[in-house]
Amino acid sequence: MTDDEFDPDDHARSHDPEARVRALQSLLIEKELLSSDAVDDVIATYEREIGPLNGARVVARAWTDDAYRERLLEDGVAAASEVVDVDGDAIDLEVVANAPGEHHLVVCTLCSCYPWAVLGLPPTWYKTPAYRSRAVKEPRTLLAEEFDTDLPADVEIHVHDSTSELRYMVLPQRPPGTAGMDEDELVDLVTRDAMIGVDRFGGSER
Amino acid sequence: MNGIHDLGGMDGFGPVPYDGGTSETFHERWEGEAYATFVATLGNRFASIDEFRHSIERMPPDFYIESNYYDRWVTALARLLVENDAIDPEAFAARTEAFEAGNASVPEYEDPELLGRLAAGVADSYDSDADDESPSFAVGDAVVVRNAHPDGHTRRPRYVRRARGEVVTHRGTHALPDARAHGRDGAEPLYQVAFDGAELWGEDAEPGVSVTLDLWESYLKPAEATEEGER
Repeated sequence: MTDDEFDPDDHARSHDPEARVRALQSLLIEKELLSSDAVDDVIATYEREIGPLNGARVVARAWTDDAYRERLLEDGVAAASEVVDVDGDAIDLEVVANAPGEHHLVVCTLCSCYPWAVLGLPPTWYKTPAYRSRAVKEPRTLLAEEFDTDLPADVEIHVHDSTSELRYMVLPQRPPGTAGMDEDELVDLVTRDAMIGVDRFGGSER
Repeated sequence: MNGIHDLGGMDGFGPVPYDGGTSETFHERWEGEAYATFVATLGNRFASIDEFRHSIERMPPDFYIESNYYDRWVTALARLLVENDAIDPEAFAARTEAFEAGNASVPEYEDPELLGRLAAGVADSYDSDADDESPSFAVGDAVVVRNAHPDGHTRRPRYVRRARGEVVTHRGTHALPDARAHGRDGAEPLYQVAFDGAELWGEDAEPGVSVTLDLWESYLKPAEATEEGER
């Protein structure tokens, strides 16, 4: 068989991905281009270290510290790094703030770009054709029908379609009735979905 | 390319399989292994992030739609590793069958230094910063997305082509994905451009919606030049 004859799509159609990825891994490991500990480390990092809790800590800090909030909106990576471990070499981040009359929503219509350094791996639904196709055309209907998030008619929606290496994270409004809570308590209120923009805290009034 | 991956604005994909907010990582071990194989492919510099995205786009449309997310990654990585002579396709095919038959296991090999090197390679692959070139557009300028339908990779989705928008931010100069996906050099000023929903979707637009994208300079032209006839 030569390269000309091998069609990776045809091959993939008839063999399951688990067998194919184990074959790739084995061949790479035999050439010392990959190692068993590197595989285990990569998996463990996403399963244990990088997840939405990182973003939640950043949001909670921004809710309690106005100067921090300003820095976060100015330079997302630098400000996030003050609160959590962020791989600043590998990500550029813009934080967009919801307001009484404004709501932000993040999508990647072309692939699956996501602010993984602060939110971890994207959820399965974020990567589906159903979400990617509708988020730019009918975000209001999408949020209401699929996420039970009904936005008041006077709230404008800003959809961010991620086309460059810059990633977006939504800074939700601080929920009403949380004035007495400290930063750690607030962390527990922040959801992954609010940081993507499919959930919203607070209505059109502050 | 005008592939099935360019999904913005399409209809008919049905409900979103929403997880109710549950946090997700890898569902099965092989998905994490696919991620690690991605790290090895970019980390050893067999492909850039743009070449990887384009490799996914090169899947036949029916197969793209029916494959799950990490399944697409495995197909795209196999293509890149074969094309770059990192693996022998015959050995890959034979080894796949051995795993399917239960007659193979992944060899053990420890190298504590390797992951750091791979991570650096991955970071380089994502790094799109380039030397500053002077931008042709300023914040507030009205621009139109040039109509073009290249065969190769592009980050100019179909739904914004020919649409009029406004430059919101100049993001500096960045590697052009259309070039880097095909192993060519090239960098251009990059702009965040905002489009009004009605400009993109006409009378079917929802009220009070805008969409922003980051678009490279060669994707854009001044709006004035196109007001008459050309659109």
